[in-house]
Amino acid sequence: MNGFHTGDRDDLEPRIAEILARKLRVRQGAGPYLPRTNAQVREQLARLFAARGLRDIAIDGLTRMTGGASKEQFAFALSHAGAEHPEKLVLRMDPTMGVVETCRAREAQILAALAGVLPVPPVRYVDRDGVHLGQPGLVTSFVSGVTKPTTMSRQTVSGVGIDYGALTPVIAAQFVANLARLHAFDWRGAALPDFAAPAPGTRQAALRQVNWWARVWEQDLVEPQPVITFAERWLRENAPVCDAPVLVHGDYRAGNFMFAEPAGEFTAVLDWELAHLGDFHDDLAWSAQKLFGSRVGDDILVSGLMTRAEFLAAYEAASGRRIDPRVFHYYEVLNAWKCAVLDLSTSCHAAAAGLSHQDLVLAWVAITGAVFMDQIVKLIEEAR
Amino acid sequence: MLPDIDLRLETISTTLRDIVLPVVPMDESLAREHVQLMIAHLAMIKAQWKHALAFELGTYDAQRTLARELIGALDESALRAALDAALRSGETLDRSDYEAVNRALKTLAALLDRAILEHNAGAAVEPRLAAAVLAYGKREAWRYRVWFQGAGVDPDRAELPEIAALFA
Repeated sequence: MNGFHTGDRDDLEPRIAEILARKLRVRQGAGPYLPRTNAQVREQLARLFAARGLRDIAIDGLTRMTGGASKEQFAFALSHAGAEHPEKLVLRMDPTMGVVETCRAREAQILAALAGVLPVPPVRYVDRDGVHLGQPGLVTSFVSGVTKPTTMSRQTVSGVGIDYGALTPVIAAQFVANLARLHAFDWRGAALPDFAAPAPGTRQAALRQVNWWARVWEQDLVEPQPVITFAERWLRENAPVCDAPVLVHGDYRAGNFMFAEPAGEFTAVLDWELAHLGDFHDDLAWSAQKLFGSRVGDDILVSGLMTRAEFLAAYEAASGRRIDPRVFHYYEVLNAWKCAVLDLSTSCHAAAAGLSHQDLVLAWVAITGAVFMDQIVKLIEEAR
Repeated sequence: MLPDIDLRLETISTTLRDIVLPVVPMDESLAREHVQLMIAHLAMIKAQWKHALAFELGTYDAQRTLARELIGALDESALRAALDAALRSGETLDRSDYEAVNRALKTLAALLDRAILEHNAGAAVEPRLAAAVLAYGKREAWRYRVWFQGAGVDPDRAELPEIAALFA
């Protein structure tokens, strides 16, 4: 190991620090969270749309959507005086607490910035601080497509274990091409006021991630785990320099994109809540995590699509970048640790306090913490 | 006891599957997904409940071993004294009381956390300490993976033995 540099533990992106502080305020004294009824959601949406100047508002066909482990999501059709036809929309809203606390305004800024660059749902309305919806929320256009083949009967939680069958090669090529396109995006020219870029040529990209998730661990701790604490030290001590920060998706994997059947063409890349400015190896290592893959014989396919070697080679070819194995390995440890933090602290805390609309799902997600702990140990041992 | 715990868990599960789930409308996807997860959790609980105390004791004993190893790497300090005291109080712990074991485990884990963070602060982690924590982590991750294998999410679940093997 190199010398131990803690850096400044309080060096977080300002908006992330605000969101984490808000979490503590909101959950203090909060009773069990009850899933919103359709009538409540209709009323809250009408309040939001009226505040945005719409008149003669009608919200029809409101349906709860499943998928993911953090946000409440609803599809509906909006009619109003200024629209010729009803518009199909999706509401994505925070419960009191989910598997992660993130910012709907950041998510909206990313979606707006990437319109025309990647297939993303167009942003229609944002309630940054939950003034109208009661909790922060984001309304986007409805995008058609599926996250897993409709022929696949097996249940999956949060995209884990999807088998794309005959569509695998078509989807794999787009999976890599879209990631390369994202990392080539010129974020400096985009309106991203709630993001703060790490200084190029420093270790800030990595250390800010460590600081973010170390604070989450501290805030949501249920039962201390020596390996998580040790990994935090290792991550501070081994943080690599990032020369040129890129826009990182933060959760790029199976289940977080939609495609049209039967052709397999991507219709949307979803779930941008963990997006940040950082090192491109961050996304690669996240996508390649064992738990997000599917086992085929001796291989674990990245997001059920291709072997790790194929994925990394295809990314290098599509992006023109060279992957540094040492930096990639660091981000494998960081991401396994981040997932273990989410599973073993936030998920357990929220489920125990009844702060989400799907506490049972969170209790299930928490189970995967064991796999990530195992990964942390194996990866750190490999580096010694 | 009659009816025993396995029977009650089993009947809850079959009720959810055969009576509740069929009448939940197909478009109530959140409710349907939750009924299925309840059934899956119950199956896991059925395999685990008899061993819950033994599992917690396994973690606690592994923590005690780690604590003894870390104490050697700590300077004389209040933390060292606190770890010593926690180890001593563990000698009189009621090992048949699940709640008491769980409380002791959390107390000791918090002290271990402090030891890991405060040891050699400002310099590199001592290799001996790193090796001890990683060896502990390796064993615990394995035990957790075996314990939760019923969820079916572990990519390497084929290599895991039955839960009972943890206590053989």
